[in-house]
Amino acid sequence: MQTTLLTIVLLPLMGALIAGLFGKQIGERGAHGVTIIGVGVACLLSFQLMWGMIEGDIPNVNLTIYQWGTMGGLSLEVGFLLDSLSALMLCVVTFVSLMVHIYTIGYMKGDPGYQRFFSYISLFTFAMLMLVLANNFLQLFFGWEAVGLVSYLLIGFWFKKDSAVFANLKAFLVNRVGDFGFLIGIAGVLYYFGSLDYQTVFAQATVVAAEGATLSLGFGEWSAITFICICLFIGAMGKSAQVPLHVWLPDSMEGPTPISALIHAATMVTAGVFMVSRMSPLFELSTTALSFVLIIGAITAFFMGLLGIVQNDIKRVVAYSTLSQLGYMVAALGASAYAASMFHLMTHAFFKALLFLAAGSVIVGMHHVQDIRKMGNIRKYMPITWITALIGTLALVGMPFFSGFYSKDAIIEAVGHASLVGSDFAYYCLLFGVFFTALYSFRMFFLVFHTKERMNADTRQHLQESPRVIWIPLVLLAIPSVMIAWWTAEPLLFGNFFNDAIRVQPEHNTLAMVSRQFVDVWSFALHGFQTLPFWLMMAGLFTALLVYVIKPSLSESIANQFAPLKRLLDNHYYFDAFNQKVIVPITMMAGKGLSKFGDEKLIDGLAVNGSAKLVNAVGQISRKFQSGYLYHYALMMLIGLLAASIWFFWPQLNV
Amino acid sequence: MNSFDITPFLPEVLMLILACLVLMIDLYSNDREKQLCYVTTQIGLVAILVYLLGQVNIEPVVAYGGTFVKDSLSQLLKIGIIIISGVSLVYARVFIRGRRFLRGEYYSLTVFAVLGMMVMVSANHMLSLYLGLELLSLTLYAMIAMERDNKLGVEAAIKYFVTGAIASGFLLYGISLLYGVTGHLQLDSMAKALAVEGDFSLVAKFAVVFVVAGLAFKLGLVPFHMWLPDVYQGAPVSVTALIASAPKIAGFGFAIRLLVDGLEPLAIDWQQLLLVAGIVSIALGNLVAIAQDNFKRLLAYSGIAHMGYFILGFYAGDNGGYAASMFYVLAYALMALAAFGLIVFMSRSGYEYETLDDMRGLGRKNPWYALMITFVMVSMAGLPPFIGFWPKLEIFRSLVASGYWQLAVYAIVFSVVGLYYYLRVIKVVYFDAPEQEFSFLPSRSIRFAITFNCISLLLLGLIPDSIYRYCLMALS
Repeated sequence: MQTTLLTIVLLPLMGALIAGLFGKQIGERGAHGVTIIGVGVACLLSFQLMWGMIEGDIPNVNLTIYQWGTMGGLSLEVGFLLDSLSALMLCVVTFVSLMVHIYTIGYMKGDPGYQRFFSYISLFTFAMLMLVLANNFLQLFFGWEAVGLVSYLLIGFWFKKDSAVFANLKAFLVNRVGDFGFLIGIAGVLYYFGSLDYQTVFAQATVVAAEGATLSLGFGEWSAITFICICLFIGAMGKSAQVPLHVWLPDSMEGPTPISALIHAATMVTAGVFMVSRMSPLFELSTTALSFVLIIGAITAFFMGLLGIVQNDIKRVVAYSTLSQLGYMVAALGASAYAASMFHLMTHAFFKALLFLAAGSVIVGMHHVQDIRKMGNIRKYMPITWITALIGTLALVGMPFFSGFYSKDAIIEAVGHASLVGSDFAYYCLLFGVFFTALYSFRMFFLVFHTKERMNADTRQHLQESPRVIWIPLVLLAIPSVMIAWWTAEPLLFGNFFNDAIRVQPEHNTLAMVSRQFVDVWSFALHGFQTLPFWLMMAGLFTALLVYVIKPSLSESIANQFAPLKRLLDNHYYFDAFNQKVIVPITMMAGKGLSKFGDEKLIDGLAVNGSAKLVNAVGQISRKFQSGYLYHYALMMLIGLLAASIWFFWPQLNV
Repeated sequence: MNSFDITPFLPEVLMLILACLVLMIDLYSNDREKQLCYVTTQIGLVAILVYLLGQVNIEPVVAYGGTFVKDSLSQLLKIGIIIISGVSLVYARVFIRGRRFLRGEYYSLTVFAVLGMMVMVSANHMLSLYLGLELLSLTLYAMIAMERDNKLGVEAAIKYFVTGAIASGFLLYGISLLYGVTGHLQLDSMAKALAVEGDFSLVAKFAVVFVVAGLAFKLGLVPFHMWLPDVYQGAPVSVTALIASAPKIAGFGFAIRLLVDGLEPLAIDWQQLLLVAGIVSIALGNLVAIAQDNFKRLLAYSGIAHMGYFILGFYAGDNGGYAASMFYVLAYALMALAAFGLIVFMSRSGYEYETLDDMRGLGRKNPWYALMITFVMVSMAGLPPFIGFWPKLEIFRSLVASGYWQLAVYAIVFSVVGLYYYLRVIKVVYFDAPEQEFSFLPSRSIRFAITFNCISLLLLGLIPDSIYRYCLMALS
């Protein structure tokens, strides 16, 4: 078991090292060969593990691989925790990663950084696996930072492009804010629980909560658990791009499309969701924290979806859609429907990776034109991309029988059953979010694949279906986008698959209330046709059809009528402007002030240069004793001898 | 005394024969370069070295009426001395070729100096100790002044000679007092006599002050250090390379014989003196080195500081501390040899790169030897993984183990100060713009020896145990 897990984790790392260090020697074929084999084997092993766990052959494992060191009673370790939660993530991560690896062969063809790219995505896979398999907070943090680092490297992959460098810096800085909270959360865990090991911490959680430990932050007393949970969640907000730390995700689309699919849609950004699910024993003990999570998630889900409507860059539409879907997952966490959240994470990973890769396929066909206003009727030229994109879109909007329907419907229902502060608000946010999801999704779909051809003649001439390495992953991802829920919805959502990993207090158990209506996946879907979300979705679809296909002039007149709203959306609710105009100058001022006074004057001036000057001065003075005169030397020797004698015999002389 | 066994004394006898042989060859050789003298000297040294290597781990033998002792410690120190001196001759040969030296005498004087050092580390008697010391000193005075038209060299020799004579006076006076108190000159008998509290213990203490002063002069400890910068700067560099290295090893042997073998009962007294001298040396050496622009003087002051660290091992007052000191002095001799060897290497007829400014931009013009300088500086600064790090660590460890952690902290703080001027050399070498072309001595042997010497600092640093093991063995 230990070897299997180690193999899964280390193969991608090995691939990354080989492709990264020996990229020149092994060439392009060698680089993609070695990384794909590594990730492919890891993927197969993950599915084998998953199968074994479903069959009951493989028990949960919690083992320590390596003890790094001990400090007092604190043990710093590398260890693996394999349970339903991490097994599911293993499969999702390695599968999507494998698809992206294959796809990249076509997408990055001829790029001078070909080997570097493969090295990065393989390294990312390693880091993500370390994160999901962690059995302690230290390793979790390692994985957390490592995926952040690779994300930073990949957003700025085309480092000669200024916008890419700006975007990766932005992603890095915004994530620092989140990580700061995360680190404080971990410190809180260490302080109150005295351990970083998951099992120890979770076992003590109820005890610590019952003790009612509180801490005063200057604005009221906080229970320790609430404080820890909110801090940890701030970390999740950074990584999973929740309002107001979401600003980096749209800009991250500056990176190559395959990594948008892998990192900024399917896996890394869901790390926050995974982490909160993992921490369910803690979050369950604080309704305040759950409320906070719920409201943040709902706001993200609704308002970010709204922004999707006004985007014209094909990748940005999908990026805002990702933000909105992450909001759904987070809201589900807040409603204690962790299982629904994880389920949506899985289905979303498939259909969103599919959508991104389809978008990438279109971009390749269009010779890196990304503006949907310059596309249209691409269906004629790229039939496979069209059909797979349609499947992805239907899954995304939640068409019954598609995988996205099951997960999204479960989330909306669960939030509807929640009884936390703000749950009503959250419910309506999610509900109307469905309308806008359908609206922006089909707007993009129609504008890209249908309507008039708006590209220039040159592009049109070369427009053709992408090569096989690009469309095969699309098809492979399209299959689970449709069907994965048919077998997994029941055990994951309402069964006891997650029972070993996720703990839910009976009074919060919203999914149990949803499950009362559940008979089987077919009737659940049929029932879906009669619910409000379905009709909202249809309304969104027809609105898109009407405004963008049947009567395109309508969109302009609507835009004119709602000019202030349009302006608000065009400026992304002024988040970026606020950051650039307020936060950045304040931070710069503080930084400059500290650097001028604190560093240059205090540390450099007084501590470093001051002591150096003192030492220098003493040296300059002492060298004067070295006069060069022989009689000085002899005198010095005599003085030395005399001083030693006096020092020795002074006591005797006095007696 | 019926059968005279020459075996214990054989290396010394061979060394004496070698010295005379070289003198003879010099006399009858018409070769201006005196190649034959050089070759004979090196072959002789290697032969004696091989002989010594064959008997490192031996039972102590006291011979010749108790004047002479042969044990593992003496064997190891002799090995160190011969290796260092031999390498210094490799540097010297090319150096003196371009200058007006009496070449044959240079070699024979070196051999005499080696003989003096060997007698010192094997002495078991005050007289043999003093004999060895004087043999070493007299040859060194002559060698410093060998470049007769170099005013600095002559001045240095005079200064060294006069102050050295005073120090010898101190030492002799101390010895005579000890003889008066104990009635012995043989070291172990002297220790036995001193162990018994007598009427003259105050006189014995007084004698310790003088004896330690003489020792401190040899090692260059403050306040008996004044000769050191002038001599290092004034002497021909190849001679400095010898003075700065091998005699320090002999000085360690001298200290062990005199203080530990002979004056063990008075340890409390001499430890205090050495402690003060060590502390002041560390501070003064490191601080004044910062203010030096001349590379040789910088190395001289750094040497004073190094001797300060080295002597702290005696303060710990146990075998661990002595072993640490021995390790330190061996490592220092190797580093000092490399440092002055580099100066030899970078010199050419009538000109030496002796100020720091001369070395500007060496890194750009000749990266390999710049790297070698870096090795030496980093090793002297005591950074791992170079050899300079480990003995320092051992000294600090033995101090902490004996409970003198404040002293260890003090020594560490001044190590940090020392880092400044070592790194300044590296900065000058790499980051300043070159102002001139560099030309080095065009000799394959010296290039090879320098590289070997500098890289050994790194290699031995990677396997520090290779030396330290023997130090522990010799002193257990």
